[in-house]
Amino acid sequence: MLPSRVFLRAAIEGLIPAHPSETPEQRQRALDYSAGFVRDQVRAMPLVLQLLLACGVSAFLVLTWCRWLRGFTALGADTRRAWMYAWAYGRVPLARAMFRPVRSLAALAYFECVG
Amino acid sequence: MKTDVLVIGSGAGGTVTALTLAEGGREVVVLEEGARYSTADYGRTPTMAMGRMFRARGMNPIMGSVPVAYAEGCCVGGSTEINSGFWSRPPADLLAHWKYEFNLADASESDLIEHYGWAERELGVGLFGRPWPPSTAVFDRGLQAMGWKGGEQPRAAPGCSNTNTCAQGCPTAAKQGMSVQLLPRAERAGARVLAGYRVERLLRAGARIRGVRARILDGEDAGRRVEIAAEHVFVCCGPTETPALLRRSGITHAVGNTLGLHPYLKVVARFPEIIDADKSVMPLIQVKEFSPDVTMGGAYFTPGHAAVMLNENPMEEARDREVRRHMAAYYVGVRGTGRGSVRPSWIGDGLPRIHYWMSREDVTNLSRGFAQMSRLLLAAGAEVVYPASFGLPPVRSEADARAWLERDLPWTDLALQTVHLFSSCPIGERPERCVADSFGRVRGVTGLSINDASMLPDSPGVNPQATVMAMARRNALEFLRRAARVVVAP
Repeated sequence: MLPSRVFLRAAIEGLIPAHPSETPEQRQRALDYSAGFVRDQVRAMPLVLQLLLACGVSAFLVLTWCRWLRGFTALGADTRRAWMYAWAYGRVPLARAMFRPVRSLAALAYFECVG
Repeated sequence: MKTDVLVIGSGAGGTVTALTLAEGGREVVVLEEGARYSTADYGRTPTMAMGRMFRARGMNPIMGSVPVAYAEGCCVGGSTEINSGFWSRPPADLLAHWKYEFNLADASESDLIEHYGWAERELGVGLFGRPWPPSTAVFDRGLQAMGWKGGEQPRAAPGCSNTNTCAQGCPTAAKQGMSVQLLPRAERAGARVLAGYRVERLLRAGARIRGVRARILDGEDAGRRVEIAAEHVFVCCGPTETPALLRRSGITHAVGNTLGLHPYLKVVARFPEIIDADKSVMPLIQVKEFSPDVTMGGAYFTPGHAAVMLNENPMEEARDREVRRHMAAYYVGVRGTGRGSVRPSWIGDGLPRIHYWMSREDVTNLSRGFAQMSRLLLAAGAEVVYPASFGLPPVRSEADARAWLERDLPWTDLALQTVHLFSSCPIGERPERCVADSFGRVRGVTGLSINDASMLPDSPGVNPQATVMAMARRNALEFLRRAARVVVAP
């Protein structure tokens, strides 16, 4: 039911783009750590919220297939970023609400790692 | 197992109860759901602290008209281990209002002053006592420029050495979480503290509470259930777990129907000078000009927390470490005139369902507060103020700030937080709305009291820890007095 770690890592990669001040090793470590952290945090949420998030992520993945004829993790970095932003910061309040915990938790863990 | 008095929870209310009763000669057992940590375990990263010391890893948000992120401690010492140690007595007129509104006996300022004084002496409450860090100094500069009421807020953190790890447990033990001195003192007076015990329900014999059933969470006996008999049970599990436990145990009248909270909106300000807010304690100034409806103060700042706040409106410059050195975070808090509810989980995840319905007044106060906070920060020299709320433009001028005096922030995307919940089981002498009498004795049963933030009749408008400790001590002493009267009665 929970979003997979692979999906979360790809989502975080889209939400937090690479920055020149970070080395590739730093980024990989931060992405791994934040994906694990987000997954642990999601697992601690009330079951109802976990279920809602799972439904939302499923809808997101289905629409990704319909739109791009590929899985989310197979999208190119720029496409993935634009698609994530369209959901997490777009015009649909429900989509924004769904990704808010993911993007906030990811930001906390990622920037804790890279400083 | 059998004991004289069982205290459930080791936060501000539970520890004061245990200490007072143990020093009063009673046999006391304290059950705490969370683990016990030493100062060597404290001061780790925020994500590690969330995983170990926060209830549900900080992931049980308050749902309702606007979701509110909520964090409380779940460890020996409770939320006092992860708060910032700020200390506030409520205004006298608020206590008078409680007396009038709830017919609350013996809780006027003159009744409680002895207990506030006791807590302040025990915790070494005082001012910082050294030159302020830059995040405080610039905030004070703004306060002086505006000519508003306010100043440095006392803290229960004598000898604070600026580790900026209040929310992860203070590694120097300067901040007086309950585990630092008061709970060990209760243990020296004979109290037993059992960590890793989750109380599932209260056990009844007719109208008398005769003990609890608890599940052991850690160690060799993990998963085993035990029954602990007690002559009297004090429920001090906090504003969400106390009503959930009472309701799970069949005590429902007025329980969990009147939850109150202080909603907070965070802002990040960028100054021309270097602030290095992540290298010092959070800003120590509180603005009282608009209190009790609106208060303003300093917020916790680490690279991760800054990213979360700035992430509501993604900005490239937030990635730049050099730019972040010029930033500090502050909050606008409102009294909270909405109402919420707490109900036990019905699907087995063990997390209470918490709801809160913001009032229009709350949103208006937040909007005005945001406007005034922005004006203050601009007057302090800030170049820009970023609201931690989706879709809101940065404030760069007085005109930008004043715009929020005229209109309300949009409800839909407000990113609010709170660490102050209360009033889910109000005490007083109005049985139709009060779960317990003026001293926390739960109505309809015997042998049961509540003694934590859930008992506050209404929003204190200020940090509730002082009031929780003062009233918990008052109630525990009243319990001892009554017990003594029963013993000596012919």
